[in-house]
Amino acid sequence: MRRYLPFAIIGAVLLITAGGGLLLYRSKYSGPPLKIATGKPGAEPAHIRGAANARVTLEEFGDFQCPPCGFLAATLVKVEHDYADSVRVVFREFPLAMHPHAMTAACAAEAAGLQGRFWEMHDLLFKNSLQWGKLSPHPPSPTGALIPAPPEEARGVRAMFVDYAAKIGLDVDRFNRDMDTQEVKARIKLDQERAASIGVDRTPFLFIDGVQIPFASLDEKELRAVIDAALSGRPPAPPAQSPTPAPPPIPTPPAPRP
Amino acid sequence: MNNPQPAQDRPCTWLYGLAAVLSLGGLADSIYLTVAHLTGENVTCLASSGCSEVLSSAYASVGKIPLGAFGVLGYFVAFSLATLAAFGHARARLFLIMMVAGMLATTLWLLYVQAFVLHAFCDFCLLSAGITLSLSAIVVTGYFLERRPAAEEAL
Repeated sequence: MRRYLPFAIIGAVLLITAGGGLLLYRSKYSGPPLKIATGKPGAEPAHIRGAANARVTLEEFGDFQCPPCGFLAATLVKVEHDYADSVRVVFREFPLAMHPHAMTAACAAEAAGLQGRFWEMHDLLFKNSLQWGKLSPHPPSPTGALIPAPPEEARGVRAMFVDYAAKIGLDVDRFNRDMDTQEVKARIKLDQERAASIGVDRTPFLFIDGVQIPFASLDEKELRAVIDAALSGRPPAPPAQSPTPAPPPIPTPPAPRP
Repeated sequence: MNNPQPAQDRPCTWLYGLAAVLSLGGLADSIYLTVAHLTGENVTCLASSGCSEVLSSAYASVGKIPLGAFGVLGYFVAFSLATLAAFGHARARLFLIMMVAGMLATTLWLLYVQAFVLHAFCDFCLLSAGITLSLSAIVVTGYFLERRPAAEEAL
């Protein structure tokens, strides 16, 4: 009996490993790809890049401090470039609470949007996210510290965003004020409400013509395949088992506030 | 592995039992990381702040296979060998040493990547590193405890 006991234990652990892994996967897996048929509209006018009458719409729910969102942003830039007038990209704010600077970054992007420079700020935030994302959410006190903090750490993340605003030619004083306005916060809240209403629970979360693209398929090759399928008239992923959903309600491109 | 031998002494049995329990911890950690990678879950760090950076980096997978999946395999094999070793299988002890040496080398490489390439640490990766380092300490201790009686006999 003792001779077989270790093998019985190993077998039991193997079964528990497989079963536990599968259960965990099922609990985390959000089920079949979501389809937007209804849902709250989100902030309007939405941030749209690409031709207004493009045949394919990519709607992303993103967080500027989420590294995979940064990778996706770089991929989408290439896709937008190659598909030119055929695709348009919509960005929705979905700052996660686990990222300490995500909300500030979302405010910065929205404040830039009020001056008609949302996408420039969007690109800068993602491009430099590893740099500002590392800053402490609690800037050290300038006095009393034994070891002086690095200059960026001491200035804080907001000061870096103000630098970005100056770099893209914004009215910096207005940008600084706008970051704290209710208008900016309301836009973020509306996007979050849209996310909640259609089941978005993580970032990056991408829909192509209203159909969720699974996280594992968010690479350039697979996105191109889905876009090609949509352009050729076939329904986007998942191709077989779902009817073509109603496209998400995307309004016209935003007009910069004077 | 096919000729079970009685455990040489109680300390070694307990050591390998401890190694098996630690491996279970590593197994659970790796399963979580694998599932998080496959489902795209935003992993929250409790102590450090670099989970997102590390787990979404190019080093977090080999092709399409998440590194956590290799961890699942590694810890399961380590658990199996440690269990067999605890029950007195002498050859399992040798294989366990080889297995843990491989895991230690991988762990050191990944620690290097976190510290000097990504400049970010992830709690779950550090937990795994801690478990592998503990396993290494256990197998080395077991190795010397087993050698001691033989050396005393030779004298």
